[in-house]
Amino acid sequence: MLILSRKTGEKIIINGNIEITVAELRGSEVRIGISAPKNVSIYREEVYRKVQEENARALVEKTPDLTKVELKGKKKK
Amino acid sequence: MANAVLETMEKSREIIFIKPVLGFEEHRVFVFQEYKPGSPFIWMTAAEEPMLKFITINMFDFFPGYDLKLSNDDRELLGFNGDNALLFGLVSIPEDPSNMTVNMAAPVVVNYKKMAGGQFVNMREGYSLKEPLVKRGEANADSVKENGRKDNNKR
Repeated sequence: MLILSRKTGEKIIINGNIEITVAELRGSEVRIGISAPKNVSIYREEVYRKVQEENARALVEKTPDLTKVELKGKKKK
Repeated sequence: MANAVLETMEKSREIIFIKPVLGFEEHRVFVFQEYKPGSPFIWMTAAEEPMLKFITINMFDFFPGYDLKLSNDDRELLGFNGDNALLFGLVSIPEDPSNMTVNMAAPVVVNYKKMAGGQFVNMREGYSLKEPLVKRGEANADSVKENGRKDNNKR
């Protein structure tokens, strides 16, 4: 992993179009500013991991039989 | 009976994902197809990898008051407004399908006029990644009466 030292207000440029700014230091917390093209996805790691895990769980391996389950909030036909 | 949401996507049911399904970043085109005639379930299959498929629901079929909040950048990226958006929830189906859940925290949003979509994390907090979809008897029948949203104080 590349490790760089930066002071508050200093930046890192990635790939020419992503700009990371160390915005503020508050004790052990760092506030980071990111500007990137809109189509770049940016998530806190724990949020990304949780959604990714749920997506992996949702991936269908064997076509389920869903004709018998009684669903919530569905109007009766 | 044809699925009403799929009927809405009259131009094409093949959607380009501007934002990926997290964990499946390399797949950027998904096709939406009905699961069975008259079923509320909808297949979402990777166009180039038919083995990569998800069961989804139209969020509003189950949670009419579902409220999605996107960042301005994401709205702009998608050209999102109330009239052109379809919201799909990815359904997780364990061995016993009666324990199936839907991901309300990170829906798939489709602008069906632009044929563009993506998975977005709802900035409105309190929606579950694992909201049960199956009735659990009368006692719990109205546990999602608040549109499936459980308010909490976490920030």
